[in-house]
Amino acid sequence: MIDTLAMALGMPPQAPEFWLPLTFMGLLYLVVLAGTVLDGFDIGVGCLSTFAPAHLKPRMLALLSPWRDANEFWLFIGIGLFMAAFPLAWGRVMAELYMPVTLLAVGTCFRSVGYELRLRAPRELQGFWGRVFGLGALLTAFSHGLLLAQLAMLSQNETAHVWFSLFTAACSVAAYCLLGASWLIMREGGELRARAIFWGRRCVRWAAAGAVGVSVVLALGNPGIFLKWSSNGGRAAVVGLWCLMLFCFICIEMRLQRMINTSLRSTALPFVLTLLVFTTTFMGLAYSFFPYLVLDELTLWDAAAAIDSLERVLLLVGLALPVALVFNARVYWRMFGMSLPPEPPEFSR
Amino acid sequence: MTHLALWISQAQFFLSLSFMLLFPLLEIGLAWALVVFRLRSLGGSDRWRQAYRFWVRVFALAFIVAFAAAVPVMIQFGSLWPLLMERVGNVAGPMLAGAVLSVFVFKSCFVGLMLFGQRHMKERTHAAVVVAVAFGVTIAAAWPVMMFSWMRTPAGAYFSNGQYIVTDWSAVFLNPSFPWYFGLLVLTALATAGLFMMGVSALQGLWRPSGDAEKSVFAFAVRKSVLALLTLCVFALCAARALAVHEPARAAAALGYWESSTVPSLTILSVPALRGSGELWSWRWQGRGASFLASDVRGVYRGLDQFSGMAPPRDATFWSLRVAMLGTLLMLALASYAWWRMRMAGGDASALPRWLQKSLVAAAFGGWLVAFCGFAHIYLGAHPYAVAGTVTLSEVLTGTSVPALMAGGSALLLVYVLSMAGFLQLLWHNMRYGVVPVARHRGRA
Repeated sequence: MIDTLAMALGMPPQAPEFWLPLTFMGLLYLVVLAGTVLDGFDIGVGCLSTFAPAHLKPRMLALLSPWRDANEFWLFIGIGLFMAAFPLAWGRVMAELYMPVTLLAVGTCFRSVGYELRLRAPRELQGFWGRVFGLGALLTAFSHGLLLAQLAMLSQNETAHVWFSLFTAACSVAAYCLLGASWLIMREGGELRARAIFWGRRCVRWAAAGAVGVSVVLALGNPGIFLKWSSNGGRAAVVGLWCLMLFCFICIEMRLQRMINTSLRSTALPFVLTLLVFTTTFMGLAYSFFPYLVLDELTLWDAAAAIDSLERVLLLVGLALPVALVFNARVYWRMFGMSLPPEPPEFSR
Repeated sequence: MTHLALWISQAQFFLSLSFMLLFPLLEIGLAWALVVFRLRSLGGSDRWRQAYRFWVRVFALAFIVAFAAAVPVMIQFGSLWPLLMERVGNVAGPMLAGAVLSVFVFKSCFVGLMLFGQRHMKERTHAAVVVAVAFGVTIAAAWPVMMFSWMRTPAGAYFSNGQYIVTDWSAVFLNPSFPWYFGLLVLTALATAGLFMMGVSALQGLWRPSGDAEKSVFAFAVRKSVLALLTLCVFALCAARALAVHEPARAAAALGYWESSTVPSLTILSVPALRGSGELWSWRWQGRGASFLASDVRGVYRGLDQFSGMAPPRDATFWSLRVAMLGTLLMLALASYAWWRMRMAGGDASALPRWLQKSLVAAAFGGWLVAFCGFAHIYLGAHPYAVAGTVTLSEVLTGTSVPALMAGGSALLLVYVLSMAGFLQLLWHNMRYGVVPVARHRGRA
């Protein structure tokens, strides 16, 4: 497959002009996927905390505590990698997306500042900072949806599509809420779990509607993508992904329906299925866009920086990668299953 | 229309950059102060342990806000100046990657251990981690400064076909202005943190008699501020001499040298006329300031008139430097006087006269004021260029409409005001009621 790709570009597969940009694209896909999957439940729980009754909020936010340090980094690294590796696309993409990315910046700031200050604030201000964190999470989820909508129809006249953007943004909030709710179901028992089941049930259809909406617009709005989907190899892949997504949504819906009556045991199933939905959506997008960064205009090879710059960036990435792998493996180790209470420290005298 | 958009973008970017600057300054200065506290507490000294315990919380707060403020700047680098990365991407890419990755490595490995892992480590190991954090935050700050200084003195690369191509990486990394700007940053950071700690100790002394730890911190902070400010003054003068060749327009604006001639002059103060480009009143020193100005081969000193149309905004550049210098001297005088009085009072902030205590409290933000004005001078001094001599800001400007820019800018302003208010409120609370320990357990909640 790589050979055919290299042949199409007229470059030997060993040439750094060919594989360096490709490597960075792979890394970028990986970081964005990790960001949506690993940071996603954090955003979701943050969104839900704005609707939750007051006595459950502290517990919901406390549950996020072990992951905050690692979660904050995905966006940071993703932006840094994009800027460093594909400077020629960075401006093109960002200029079109001024409003969504500014919202994203605001949301991210609110999240990090709100969470950490809430931990340290006196009791009477904790509610306020908790709300700031929740607002930040809502803004982040909303802006992710706007970004998705704009990416899906970047090549078109924007003014006619405000409603589609708003719809996708609302669905994106619902999708993150679903992820957060299913994480809570797995993580915690009691009232919080019962409520999380209801939150999840309200969100699941909106999330599904958003996924369908984006795929339809992506295919019908961009002839290039439609062609790719309807080509011989593409058809099977797209139909496979769609069926997988449909299956996941149905399973989540049914599982949540029955969970109320039948089982109060902890289950990771809805969470895993929701993660699968997110991954599938992302893979579909990545497949549709590859090898373009700006659809039908700029491929990743056009947008890449000069080779010796990329080599230096790769060297730095190589230095940081072991740390990143060990750190993330260590942090995300106990992400699944019921939450264990922390052990009291040993006091030495 | 474009002109308005340019100035709104410029203001918005300046706002984000200067807000991002304030907290890392505090963070770097405090990190080095914490090294001193931690090493001194190794001998089992209780006062330094308490000092560390209090100030590490303030460091953590500054670190949080500094990290949060970095994301909008990176995003705005693309959304306000979309074409800039196309022009300088080959040079800026590795530096950006270096900044992001070193922040990641140092934050994930060392800051976590420093803040949450003290109990699980030996004393000496923890002290080593504190030293590593201090080096880490300084190194992480070096990358953006390198990029910023390269854009002022683009060495080691040539501009062709709308893109910079690197010829010599070591010349890029060690461009002529990098050592100067980096030195200014570190010294300002030390002074900022020193003044900040001095002000906080003075406020605690106003409220109650100082304890042992507060006395030690106060004495340390006063000495640190005086030394850092003195070094800063000398270093800034050297930097101004060295940078005059590379940034002639800023140098001319800094000295108020409006018209080129063979006689150098130094304007100490100048009040601009309301109309036109003249001045109402000025206080000049003829024949001085030659080494702070750039001159051409014929021995004519380059005034601001040589840069017609491409000159920095005259009065803002001129006055921001004056405020910064005046602030530095004022802080230096105050800190030196406090040092003298402190020796009589035995390092006790609560035994100082009340007016001095109150002035020291006001001076707590003196470092920030100086840093803000100094940065405004350096930043505006490069206008209208994004990269000196080749890329102007208006050619890389976004096509976003003015109302959208205004809305985005106001939203970010709200974020900054809220973060600053939260930081100050928590600091006040910590000073009033003591610090609250925060624990974080791996995978458990």
